Amino acid sequence: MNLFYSLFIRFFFLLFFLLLFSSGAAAGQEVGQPGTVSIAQRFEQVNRLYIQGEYQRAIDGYLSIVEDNGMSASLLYNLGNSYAAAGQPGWAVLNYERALRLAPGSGDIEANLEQVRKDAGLYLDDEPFYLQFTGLLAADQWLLLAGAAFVLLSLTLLLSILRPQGGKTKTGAMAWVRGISFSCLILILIALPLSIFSYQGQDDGVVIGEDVRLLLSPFAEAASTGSIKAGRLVRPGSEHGDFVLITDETGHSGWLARESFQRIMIRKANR
Amino acid sequence: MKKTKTRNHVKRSLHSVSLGVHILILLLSVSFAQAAEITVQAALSSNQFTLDETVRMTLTVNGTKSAEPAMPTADGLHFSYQGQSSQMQWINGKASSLVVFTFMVQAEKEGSHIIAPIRVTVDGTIYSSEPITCTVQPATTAAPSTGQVGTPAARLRSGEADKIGLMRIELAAGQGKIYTGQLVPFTIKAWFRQGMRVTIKSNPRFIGDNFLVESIDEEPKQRGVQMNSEPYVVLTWQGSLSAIKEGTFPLEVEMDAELLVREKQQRNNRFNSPFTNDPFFSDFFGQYARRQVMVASPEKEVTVMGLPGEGQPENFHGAIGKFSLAVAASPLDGKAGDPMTLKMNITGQGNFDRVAVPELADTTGWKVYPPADSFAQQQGGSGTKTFEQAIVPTSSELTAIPPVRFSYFDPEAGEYVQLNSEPIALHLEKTAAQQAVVTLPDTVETLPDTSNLKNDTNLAPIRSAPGRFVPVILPLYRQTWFLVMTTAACCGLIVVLLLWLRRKKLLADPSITIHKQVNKQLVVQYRDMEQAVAAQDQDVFYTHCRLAIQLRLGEVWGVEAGAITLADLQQRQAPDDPLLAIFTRLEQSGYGGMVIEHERLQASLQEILETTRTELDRLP
Repeated sequence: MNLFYSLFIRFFFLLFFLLLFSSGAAAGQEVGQPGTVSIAQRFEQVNRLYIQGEYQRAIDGYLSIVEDNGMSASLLYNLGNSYAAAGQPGWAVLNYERALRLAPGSGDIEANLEQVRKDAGLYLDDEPFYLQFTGLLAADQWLLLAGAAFVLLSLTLLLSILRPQGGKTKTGAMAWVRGISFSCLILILIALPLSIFSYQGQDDGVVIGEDVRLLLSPFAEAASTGSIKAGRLVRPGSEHGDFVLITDETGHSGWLARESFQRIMIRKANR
Repeated sequence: MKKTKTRNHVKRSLHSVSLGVHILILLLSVSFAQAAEITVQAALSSNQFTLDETVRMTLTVNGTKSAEPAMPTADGLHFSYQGQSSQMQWINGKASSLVVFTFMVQAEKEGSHIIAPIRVTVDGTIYSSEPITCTVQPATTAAPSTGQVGTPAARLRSGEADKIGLMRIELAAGQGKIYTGQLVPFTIKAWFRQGMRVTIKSNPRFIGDNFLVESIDEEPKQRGVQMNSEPYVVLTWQGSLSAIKEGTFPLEVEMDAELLVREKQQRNNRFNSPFTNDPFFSDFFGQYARRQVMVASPEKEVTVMGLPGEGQPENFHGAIGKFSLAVAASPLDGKAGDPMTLKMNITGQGNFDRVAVPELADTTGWKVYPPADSFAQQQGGSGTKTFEQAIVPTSSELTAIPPVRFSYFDPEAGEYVQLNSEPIALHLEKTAAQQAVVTLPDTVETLPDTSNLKNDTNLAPIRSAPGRFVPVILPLYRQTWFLVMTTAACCGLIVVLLLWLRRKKLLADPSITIHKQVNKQLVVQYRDMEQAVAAQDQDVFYTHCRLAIQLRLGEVWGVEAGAITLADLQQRQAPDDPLLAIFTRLEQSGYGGMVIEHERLQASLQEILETTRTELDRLP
């Protein structure tokens, strides 16, 4: 029994580390590995354009890298900075939001996003406590927390049930197992609903057009119900023709032309 | 009895299943039938109209409760969407749903026009209406022909058509004097004698281009009244209009209607029959005919005046009506540089499209950003327009948000009114660092431009390394590694569950564990016996054989294996039991000194081993 137990533990840890290794590889999904040097050089060249104040050229340069190699949090962040410096807050907010999807909780991305929103006058009323609490972590982070707790719970229970019976430390070990399992369960019960709630806003849109007006009905001739600023986050709802019924982060709703906003979760960054 | 019960139960189950299947088939057939019965019909309220007329087009989609129509298209015609309504009816147990979309059609040029088939999407399937042909005639303020082609409609002004009814328009302004740009609520009433068979063919329309209709009820309110001891049905439309230019203009509305009138029979009265002259029989034999008429209101003179230039405030942006202003701000504490939201509600009645954002009386020390606005409309041109504006104090010396000003023209009083809010007290933190004036983007009314951001924004610097590239942004729950990890954890939990169930089963029945332990020990004993046979070691063989029998019988009898003796076997086993014979032989060899001849030893031991194994396996 002891031999089997020790073999099983070894096998399990081996499997766990293999999974972690594969996860790193899978999460990266590195694109164009052989041409890394070339990407780095292009990135450096475009960065120089930004430093020289050539913001529009920097935007073009970053977008061409996106076109050829996909996206990275750093690339989207620099693109957001370029848009912000070029006076296009809508696009800047969009790219910062996308960068945050790839690097949740990144300090400089969050700081610049806040700065751009402040500069563009995109303020919000004080959020209720539950929203503030949910906003402590990004949706992916809440889910990762829940997932890690789930794995730990599974591992703890597995080890406890496979350990040889009748040991001297049975009571103490069981107390540990119960404590860890209970903690994991609580963590799952908190983090999982919060992640589900947060994922509702994962594919929100960002208004990119200037002087965009919300319409009462999905027709170009319809009366306006108000204006909405570039950079506002909107939650798309039903669609009709070229119009989408949206609700913005301040609670205003109306029909918005499709081309007036961009969804955050898309295949490629665009202009 | 039990069989009958079971048969009844099965019968009932079959009936339930059969009923369920029938209901399912019925539902499916209904839904299929509904799906198959979807039809789209487009119709104009009049296929012939003039350039200055507006006609109504209805797009009726039968067989569904929701549909998405495309905007109708026709060269030379302009369409505006008015709204939709849906109905559901049960007729003879059959459900029918329909949704009606309404468009107003105006012509841009004369001639014959074809409205292309209108595409309607229902549950992803596209249906089309038939094309419609219409004829647009030159603009005229005279009575246009309506209804059937070639049947000129009689224009019946109120007073001229007392037998039918009358029509009036009343302005809320009352005096007949209004201002350009003023939104004036109006009420149109049409009285029809009760019993008249009248069908309204169009909404009331204004004659001439001096007034702009901002809104009008799609459907009139209907009620019965007594007038001069005569019962009437009154149709009432409410809406609002505005005047475009100064001057005195006639205000007149008209409406298409269809009368069902009884025509007397042209009978030969040569015989002077009492029947043919009797009105009763005349009515009885009378025939109904449809007659297109146009009901018009009497002209009402309205004087449109321009807004006075004298006393016009600087911050007047064209708002005319009666308004009130409410202002709130939050948060009111913090420090210089922290944004605040100024919320301004303008409530009242008037032309809200000209209501602009109220202004701060003094913007010194404040950074003001462009506002966002929203409008909640109520009936009769009243509503609330809300502006939300971000303002940032740039100095910690500020103690209040300055008053907010809003100006409008009151048409009743004939003067400009300026509303001023009260200053809102602030409590800004005063620290040494914050007493300095905070630098903010210079732009006040527009979004920051490139140069401002380049110089003034405090963006964190760009990153020098490109980082790890991904082709798409995927949420964590769609990433392979996370799915593999959670699947492995799920498998682990399943294993835990299965092991726990097994453990629970073993704890509930200890004999299973004992049986397994005895079996394991027996395997060891058999192996040692085989080794002893090979080595022809009789003593060792007998020892292990005895142990094997004791172990197995101990398990079966539930006693300690070592305590089992020959006497126990003699007591519990049958006299001819082979195990008893073997055990007796073992005892004899152990205590009686029985020695088997060397030549027969191996075969004998092998035989004992086989017999023991067979007999022990046979035990329950």
